Amino acid sequence: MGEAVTIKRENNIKLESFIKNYLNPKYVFLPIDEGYKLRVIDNSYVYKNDIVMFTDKGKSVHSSVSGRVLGIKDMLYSNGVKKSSLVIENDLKENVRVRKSAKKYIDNYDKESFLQMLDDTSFKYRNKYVVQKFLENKRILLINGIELEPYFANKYFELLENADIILETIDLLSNIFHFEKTVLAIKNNSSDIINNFMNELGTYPNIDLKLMGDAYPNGMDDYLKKILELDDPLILSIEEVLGIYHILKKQVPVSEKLVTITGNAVNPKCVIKVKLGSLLSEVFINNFDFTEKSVVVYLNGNMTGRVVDTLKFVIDSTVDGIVVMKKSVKQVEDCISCGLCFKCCPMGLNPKYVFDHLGNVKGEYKEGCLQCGLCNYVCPSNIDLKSYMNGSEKN
Amino acid sequence: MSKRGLAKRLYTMYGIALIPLLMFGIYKNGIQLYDKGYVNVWGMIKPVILISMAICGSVAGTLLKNYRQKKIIDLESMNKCKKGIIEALLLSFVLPIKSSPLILFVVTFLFNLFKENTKINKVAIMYIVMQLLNVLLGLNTFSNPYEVNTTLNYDGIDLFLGFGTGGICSTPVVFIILGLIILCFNSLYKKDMVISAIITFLILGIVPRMITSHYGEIFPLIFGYNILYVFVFIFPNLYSSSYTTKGQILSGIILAILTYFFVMITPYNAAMLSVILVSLIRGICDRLFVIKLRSR
Repeated sequence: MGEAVTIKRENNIKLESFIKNYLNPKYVFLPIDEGYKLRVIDNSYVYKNDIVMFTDKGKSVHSSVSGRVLGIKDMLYSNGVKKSSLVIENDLKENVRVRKSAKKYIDNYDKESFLQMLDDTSFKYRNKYVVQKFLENKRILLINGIELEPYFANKYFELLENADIILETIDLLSNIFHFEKTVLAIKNNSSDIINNFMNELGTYPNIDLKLMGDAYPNGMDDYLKKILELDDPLILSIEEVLGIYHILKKQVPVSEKLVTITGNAVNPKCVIKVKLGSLLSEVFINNFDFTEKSVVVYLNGNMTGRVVDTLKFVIDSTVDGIVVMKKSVKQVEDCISCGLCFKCCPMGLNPKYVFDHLGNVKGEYKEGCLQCGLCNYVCPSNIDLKSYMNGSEKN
Repeated sequence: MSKRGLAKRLYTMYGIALIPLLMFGIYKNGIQLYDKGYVNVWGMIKPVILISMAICGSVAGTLLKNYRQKKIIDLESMNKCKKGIIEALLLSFVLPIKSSPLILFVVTFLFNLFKENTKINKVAIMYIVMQLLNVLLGLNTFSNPYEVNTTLNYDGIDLFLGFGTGGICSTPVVFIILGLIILCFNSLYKKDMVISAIITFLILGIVPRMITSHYGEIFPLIFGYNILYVFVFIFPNLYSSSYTTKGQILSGIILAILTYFFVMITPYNAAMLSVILVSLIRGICDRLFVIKLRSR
């Protein structure tokens, strides 16, 4: 198994030190997944947090804005798939049907009420219901606070501003589910974040803080649990922990998220808070500019993400940001059999072997590939090994 | 650290590592012979001419190949010559001083014209072709005129410093070790296979002779016959050697064993023949460890 690699960042890519807000999109788009039935009709008015669609199993989708339902339209999502989506025109009033007051403390939840609350709000992260994770009866809790992508800083800001909230929520989870071990992993390169956590950690002796190097792919769940030698933990990201806190405290679904827009061909470079369901192109046009005529846009980062030719994506929990880089010609050369891809692979796989066979190998040679893109990064011949590992090159 | 350009840097480091060997070779097989009156001015500069012809042949072959493909000679095709120049240096350093510059030019020219990256070690093949032609022309002896006309009795230190018989610039063990240290700083250099080959060969060379008390045979074997030079500079070719760490170690061990046995048949060509055989089985060496990965 290869060791994590320090990714060389371009010196001129520096993010603003504050979070920008764009919480008034003109439209929001809510995907109509299989099994969902609409609860609203065209031209009807919806309040913020209203249920706009639901399943027979009790799952629901809430509106992140108040406004008028315009109808259904096919929209593109970050996985490249078009989905029918409910279009809501934002009236910018943030009207809510019932204004609930936030709870003073969150520690009065027991297991049943906690799960019920997550279920009621249908809290989804990366297209998975978070409540399902808690039903798996895991004995170890691992909170992943490590940013995976080298140019992104969503987790940095979340950790910097919410140390007390994060620890309080982790402590609550630990108490509700009686985890044998609770680990919070963060990067060791920000003294501000470390100090914030160290100041608060004294009151939470059950939380084990692990400081990890600023290396790639430490932020990947499967790799992180492997290097921390944790056997089958329940892994939550910082976004999920903050989402849980938000739901428990305010008793309403999560409707906002942080997105990083950065790269050497965009200005400004910053983390921006947006509404879930906003269109990425709208966010970009109203806040950012390309600084170069010819650019390459990596959706969700230049390591794990993919190159896209449009920004007309709906922002859901799977969108973490974009990296806009000046277009440069990378000449692909013959494989020189250096073996760097094999040596650095965090899962100990052999991308060179798969490449030699043009991807036509048994699944077991690719099984466990994290799609971290480290093989591409280290390849001196610029070969897109990742595409051979995920089979897209073969296709 | 980004690995882009590491291959180009490796060739540069090869160039740096070969400079001391070049200097010593010009002294030993040129200036020294001239000083002692064994050769004329032409003989004195023959090492330089041989090396220059190898480089010229390589550059001409590469440029012509690129010209045939693109109908233009540009900066990119000049950049491609870098690898060919290093291969030409590696080849010319290990050849006998008696080799014909013209034949060397033709061989390097043709190989670069028709073959860019071969699965079998290209320098080793060029060497074997050169040696076959040298045998046909009676130029295959490695002794220079001084060594031919003198009864030599070198001790271990002399051999270590490079005064033994061998290729034009491939005898100074001290500079070969220095080159190995320099090359180890580049992560593309396959040091595992070199170190495993050297250690295995040392064991094979020393242990049986210690047991049988044939101490005098140890230094000529481990410091002579261009073996260390081939192990350090030619064997770890990027294109024709194993890429898995365990595969590299296994290749190194096999190379040392083959060399040890070939030395008894054809001492100066033993290491090169072994390199060719090992590059033929490198796929098996790697595959052994790839298959093991499946069962993890």
